Amino acid sequence: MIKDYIREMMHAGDVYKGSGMMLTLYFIALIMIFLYMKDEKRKYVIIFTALSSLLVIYTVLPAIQVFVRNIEAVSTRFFWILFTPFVTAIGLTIFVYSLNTNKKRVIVTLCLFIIVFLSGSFQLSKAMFKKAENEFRLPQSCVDIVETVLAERENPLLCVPYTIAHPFRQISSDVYLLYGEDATNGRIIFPKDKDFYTMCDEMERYTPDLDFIFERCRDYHVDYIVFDVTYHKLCKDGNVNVNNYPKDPNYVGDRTSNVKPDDFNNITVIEDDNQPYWDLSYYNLSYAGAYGQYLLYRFEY
Amino acid sequence: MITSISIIKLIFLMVIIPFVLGFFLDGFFSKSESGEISEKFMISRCFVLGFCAEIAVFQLVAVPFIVKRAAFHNVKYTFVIALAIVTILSVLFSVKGIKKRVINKINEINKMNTNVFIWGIVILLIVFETQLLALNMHMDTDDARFIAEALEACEKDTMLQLNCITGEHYDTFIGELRKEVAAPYPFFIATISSLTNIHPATLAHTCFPVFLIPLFYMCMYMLGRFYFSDSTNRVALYMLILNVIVLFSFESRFSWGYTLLTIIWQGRSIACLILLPALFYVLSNICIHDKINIGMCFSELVLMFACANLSGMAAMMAAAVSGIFCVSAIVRNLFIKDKGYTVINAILKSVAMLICTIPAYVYISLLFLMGM
Repeated sequence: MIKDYIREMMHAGDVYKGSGMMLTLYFIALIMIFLYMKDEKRKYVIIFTALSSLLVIYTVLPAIQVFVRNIEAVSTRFFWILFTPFVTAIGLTIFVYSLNTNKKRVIVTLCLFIIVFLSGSFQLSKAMFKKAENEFRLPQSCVDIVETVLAERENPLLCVPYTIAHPFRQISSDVYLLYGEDATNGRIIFPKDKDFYTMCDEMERYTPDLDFIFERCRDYHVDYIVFDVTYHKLCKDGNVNVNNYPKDPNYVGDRTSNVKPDDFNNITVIEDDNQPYWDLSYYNLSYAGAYGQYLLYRFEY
Repeated sequence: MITSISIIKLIFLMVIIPFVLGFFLDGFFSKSESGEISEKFMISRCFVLGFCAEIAVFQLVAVPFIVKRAAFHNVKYTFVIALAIVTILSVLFSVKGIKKRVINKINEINKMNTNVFIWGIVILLIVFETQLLALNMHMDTDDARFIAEALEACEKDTMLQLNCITGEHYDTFIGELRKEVAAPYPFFIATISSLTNIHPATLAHTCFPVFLIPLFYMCMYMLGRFYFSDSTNRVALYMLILNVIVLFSFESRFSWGYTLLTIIWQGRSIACLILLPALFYVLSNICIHDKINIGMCFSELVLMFACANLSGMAAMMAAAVSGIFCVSAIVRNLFIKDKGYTVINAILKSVAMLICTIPAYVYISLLFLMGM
């Protein structure tokens, strides 16, 4: 237990700090504040609270983690009480103004900016910020799917790939999902039933086991199912991603399939000017439209 | 659909009312360390403390209704009435001396001699960051719960009674939904959404960044003025350095840069970036004053309610920060020789700060009672 405690102390900040360079800058700023801040009361407040917070984070929280209960989700967020960017900015400003000429201040400020550039991580890119498609700031294809299914029936039940499950219930609470991240049960995939985990996994694969999925969908009276043309391949012939929708660059799962497109002989590709689609009439599914990279199918009961 | 009426209502709820509430609370801070009233006000402090007060009012109103499993419209209407009462009281208590405070502020601005170039860059960066999130799209899977709960309240008039995925009705609070019993921030979004007729997803993703990112920088400006009150140039440089740090602070999902520029509308983000720093500001003010200041302690009380609304984690961190400051108040004389600061002052101040932390403990206890 003591070894576990020491290990927890040593790794307390691993998740929060990344490379650790920004936290290093924070400690340097604390030293600057200690050396150069003239106002004793304000210096005391910032240094005392910083050191006390570090003591709590590196001793009290690991002790709770090891000896009381698992607080992993909580302990990383406790780094927020260090107020690292604010303290770092205060310390660096005090250091710059400890210099006696404006020329030195400008040079040092520019050097500090370079140090921040090199210490930090800049991730403002098109991968992180996509162009807004609507006022909800959610994929337009999901908005269109919701409008379509709600126009056709009340409280439709959808089976969608897990990676795009989260926008649907943000658009309308009248649309239900067969599975998704379950806030009622520790945020695991809902429900806890093994079938749903399997269905969720299958829908992420290049070729889902359609027999299994469609049978389960019928058992639960699913109204619609959504496929993604960027990775789903339901028949061996015909590429339906003719509009070259890009694959999700952030996806890290395994799409290896347990079945092959050859296993499904009754699926053909229907050529369409806008978007070719698979003919799933053999499985009593009718095509309900293309919404960006997603194909919507309706279960016919 | 965002209409012009919706925008006017939103500005009223997110700008005007917080400013009025904050103007009253600002009065407690418009005093020098010797206790003389300087009869000015800080605009940023008004907005920050006022926003916190608005959330605190919501927290007081919402939790009893949620525990009783009442309909959402009860929360909405009670919040409107409570907010109206608190706003009127704030106006009544602030009206004395308001003319002098405003005139002094205008004189202060006229005499201000500051580096326009640096401030120009700071403002440009803030505008850049605000438009980045308001005009673009960044999706976070946690919204599948927060926004779905807000939407449930708006569309079904229920709170935490439906499964977020299947719509199944529950008679008790289960799973992670129990967190929102003590920290009902999604229903604050739902209330604002319902009052302004803006869809919760639109409100959170498009509108809130426009208010919250500048509010964050106002909070940071407030802190900067606390440390560099004698020099607006130093405050300008501090704001510029902070801006640059935030832009490059993406070392993890918990860092300020990631939190501010991708998920600012979520409760824990507001807690991390606005409320906890505001609490640090209030407690620092309490700590450096020799004598106990009841008004500042009241502000701490308001902030405790506000932190509890945003998330259980925020309540715990607020309690932890307050505990640290309680200790710092007691041991201050070990580090700073100050004859004006007696042991009685130290103990009274610590006790006052501890008493004002009680709301956080109450809501944390509620969280544990719910089984979290």
